[in-house]
Amino acid sequence: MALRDVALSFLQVAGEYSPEAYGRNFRALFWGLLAAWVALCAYLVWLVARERQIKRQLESLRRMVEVREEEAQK
Amino acid sequence: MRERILILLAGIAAGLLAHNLFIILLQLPDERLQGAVFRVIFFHVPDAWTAFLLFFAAMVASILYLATGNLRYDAFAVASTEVGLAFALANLVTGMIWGANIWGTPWTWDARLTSMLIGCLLYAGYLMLRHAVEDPTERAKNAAVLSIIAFADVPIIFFSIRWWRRMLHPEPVVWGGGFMSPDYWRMLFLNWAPLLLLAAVLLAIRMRQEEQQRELEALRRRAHAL
Repeated sequence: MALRDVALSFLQVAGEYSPEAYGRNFRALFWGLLAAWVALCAYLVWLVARERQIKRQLESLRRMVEVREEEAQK
Repeated sequence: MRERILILLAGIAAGLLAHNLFIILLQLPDERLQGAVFRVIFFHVPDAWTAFLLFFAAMVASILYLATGNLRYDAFAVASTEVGLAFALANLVTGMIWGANIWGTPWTWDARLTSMLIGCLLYAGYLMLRHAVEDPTERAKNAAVLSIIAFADVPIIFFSIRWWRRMLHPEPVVWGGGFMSPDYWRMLFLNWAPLLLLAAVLLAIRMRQEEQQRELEALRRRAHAL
């Protein structure tokens, strides 16, 4: 299979009908590979977003505790 | 240092995946009857293996938590379960896309698919249970028990094809009657390596979050006390 065949077949998934690509189930392969990676990438993005949120909450809580401790000492 | 190791592991995983994709798309031939869509198996099957391995790790960590009461085991169990669930869902979705093309339907209620769906629901329930319980030790204890019970579904998924023979799902190629050419077989394991590395990276990130979450809870308690 030449690189050109694969590239053309994947491009044709976007809409154009190609009997050759259709016959070899390229459309399904495209969606299959995309699904495999979208599921894991979506999870990774969600993990990163949650880590940022936790870090923000940690920072603000640390500051709040420091302020309250200083006030308590006074 | 820990961050650098994670980036290095992720880089190796990405490199291996790019190399494997090159071989999967350009060098391996189409399967005779299924055509190009057969290549989905190189992600579908290793996704399932990774999920099972992580669910097993979660069960072991849950047993260790119940035996020792060390919350680090609980953190490992929740991280393994969550990452395992992501791989299990990737396995389900890729399987449905393959099924839609080869069987003519994305879903059929045969034992393999149904037991996999039940497994995903059980582990999703595990994660929901953790959100429902406030007290950390109570949460860890309840979740550990559920994790051990949920793992009972994994052997059922694995051996479902042997136990319920009249099914649409192909026979397993590991400990089953399925056959695969040596080139495909090698690729299946080669593509498992980067997925395992990726799972290790996700696990480490999720473990770190669990530690931060505990620190957050401790700070909240301190702020309340002041």
